Amino acid sequence: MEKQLILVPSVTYAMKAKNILDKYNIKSYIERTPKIHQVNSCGYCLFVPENVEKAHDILLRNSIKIIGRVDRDAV
Amino acid sequence: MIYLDNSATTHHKPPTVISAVSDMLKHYSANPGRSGHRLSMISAQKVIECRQALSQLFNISDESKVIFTSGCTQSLNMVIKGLLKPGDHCIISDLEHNSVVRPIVKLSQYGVSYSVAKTYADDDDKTVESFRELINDKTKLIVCTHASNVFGFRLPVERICKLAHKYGVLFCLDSAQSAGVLPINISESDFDYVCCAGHKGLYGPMGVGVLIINSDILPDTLIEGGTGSESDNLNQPLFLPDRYESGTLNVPGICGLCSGVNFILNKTVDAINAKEINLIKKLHSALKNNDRVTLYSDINTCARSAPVLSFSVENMNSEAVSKYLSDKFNIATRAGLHCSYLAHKKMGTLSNGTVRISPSYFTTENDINRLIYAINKLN
Repeated sequence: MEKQLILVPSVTYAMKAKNILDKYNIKSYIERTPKIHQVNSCGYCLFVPENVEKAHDILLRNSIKIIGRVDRDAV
Repeated sequence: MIYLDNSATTHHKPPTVISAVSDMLKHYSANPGRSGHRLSMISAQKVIECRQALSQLFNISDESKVIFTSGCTQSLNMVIKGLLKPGDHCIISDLEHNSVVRPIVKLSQYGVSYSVAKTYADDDDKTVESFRELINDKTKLIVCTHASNVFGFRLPVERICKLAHKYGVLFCLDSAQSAGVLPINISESDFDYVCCAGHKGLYGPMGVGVLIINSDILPDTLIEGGTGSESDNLNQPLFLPDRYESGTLNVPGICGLCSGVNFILNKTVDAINAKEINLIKKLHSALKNNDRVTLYSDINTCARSAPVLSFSVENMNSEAVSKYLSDKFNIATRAGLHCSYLAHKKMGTLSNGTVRISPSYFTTENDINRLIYAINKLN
């Protein structure tokens, strides 16, 4: 699995991240971070159905704070 | 009414500002950054759109640096009280509003020292030199108004900021009177902190202000609480903007502010400034021919200032003049000391105050003609 959920600390980061990915034509969807073992966040995440590795790299290059990656199917 | 008290609050708002506030309250009055449902996400999207609009207006690359506050006073308090500790020294100008002076005077009771730099409306070199002479090895922060809220005098803040950085001192810009009417380029000027009012030249509603943090040195927080992020962490988040945005944001205000900022971006700051300065120059030219009126700047200084003009009338208290204009001509002005003791002390106007005229983009030449007529009719 590609771990399609990219966890970010807040809605501001989530929206910034989505705007950045939009510019790269990578589809993403903002969601609340589900309760996941070992991942502590009352925050938001991006569901990136395709090209998630590329999306991850782009976000890091654009100074988006990423606090984790999880499988969508696992939650 | 002819409204010429826009330095206190712009009264005439662009219609889009009013509809933005109304739309928010009617259609998506939900808490941003707290939930995942559709209305909460729309609300959050509107908040980030305002951060983006402000980033464009002030030329900053990262909208996370835009922090919403209750107003410029809160923004200034956050910087001043969040940075200065006992033993630190701070420099302010002799034109500062009480929103700068009072927090610093309060801190002076706890071991913070401060100095007041003399400014020269007609000589930027001398103004910069005044600041340079006051810097010492304890100086941590310079807080400086972009333009006097009473006399409009514009300070060479880009040069003062460069001076501060040369000596390892942080720089905070008070743009309460300038945001929206004077160009502010944060990336180019490298201001560390910029404090803005939302309800003045940015045409937003009251109750919303902005703090832009363009420095890696983050002030201590004055308020901690829920941010909708890292809820299992009992310490305040370190990242922006959450670190400084505890509690539910004023989203109706932010939506209105966003429309106000978009209005400015559409009209352009230069065009707004040119229009307002022309009105002030017209007023200045007319009043200088009235023997009973005292002006506090020449026309050249006036032309390069923020669009604000103060005057007084011989043998009349400023409050009486303002009341006359209101009662007899339905013209709104502001008299007195304008929450700026230092500026009035500098100009020798403490005892009588001044009458302040501050137009907005919506002020017309006819408004100014009517004001001139009213002043010339004074007995």
